[in-house]
Amino acid sequence: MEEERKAGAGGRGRADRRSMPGRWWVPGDVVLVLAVVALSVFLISRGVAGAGAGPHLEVRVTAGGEEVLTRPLHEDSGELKVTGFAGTSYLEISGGRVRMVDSACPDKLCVKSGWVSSPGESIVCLPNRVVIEVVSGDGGPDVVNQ
Amino acid sequence: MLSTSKRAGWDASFPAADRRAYVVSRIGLLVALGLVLQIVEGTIPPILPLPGARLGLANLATVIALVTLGPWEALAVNVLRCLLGGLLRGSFIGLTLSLTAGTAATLVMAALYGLGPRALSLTGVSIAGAVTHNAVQLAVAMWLVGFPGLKHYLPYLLLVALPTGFFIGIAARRLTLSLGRGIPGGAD
Repeated sequence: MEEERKAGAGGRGRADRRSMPGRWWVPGDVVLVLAVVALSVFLISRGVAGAGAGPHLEVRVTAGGEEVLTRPLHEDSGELKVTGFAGTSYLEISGGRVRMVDSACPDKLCVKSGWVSSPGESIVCLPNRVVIEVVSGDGGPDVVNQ
Repeated sequence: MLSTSKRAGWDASFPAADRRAYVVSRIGLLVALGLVLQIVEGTIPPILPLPGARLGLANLATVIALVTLGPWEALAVNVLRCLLGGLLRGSFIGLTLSLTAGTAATLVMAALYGLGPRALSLTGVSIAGAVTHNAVQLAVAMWLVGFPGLKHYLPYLLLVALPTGFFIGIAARRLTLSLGRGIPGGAD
């Protein structure tokens, strides 16, 4: 009480509205913390329920340097056909991965590349001039430098 | 006067003109304290592998200014500390992030602190400041980097702000109790 009287007599302006730090916690703090936890849990659960917590990935296919096909990586596509320089390439998106099933080329190096799924990975069929790339659909960087 | 010399704080019996000099010198001291804490924190290896998830020790100076001086003085301490700290680190992006997030956090803390001790304790005020800081920092980072995918990071940064804000709030309360508010008769 005496402390408050002195603080009031000090004529200290704005800072006087409150005397001292006070108790180290009050019920209002608990409400604040619970609100932040609830908001975070909600955001995390919504992110998980959506298309994965990570960035949205896409498969981009180019033939002869021109983009011919863009598909989300998380949707199974069945067999897709792309017409290239030497003939037709067949690719497949399944289970969040993409692979070349068959292509109009002699060595089938693209088919032997197998499945790819990470952003930045690609499958190239040089004879048919077809390139399959996994890209970040948000259009952002694959790596953030600090 | 006895208590004034003991606490080295402001005494109402001093001439009113000296109050200005007192506040300016206190702001200077707290800016210096914040800069030192910022450098000290930079030497501590990060505990969590999340960029942006830091303790925010330098924020201690802002909270102390809020309690012992007032909201505008706290804002001054924060802005000066961010500008000088940005010059020390020499990172423009770091300066932009700390200035925007720090200013937003200080404004939120000042508003909540103004509600009085029954609404939120200093611990709660500090937690709200840390949460605001992290949220605004992420928003500005998203804008600077132009990568909306960063938003998935928000809930984790919010959760991290709880313990860091708690620690800063507890530490600020202890420190202001020990330092006194700069009023005769002291704090305790």
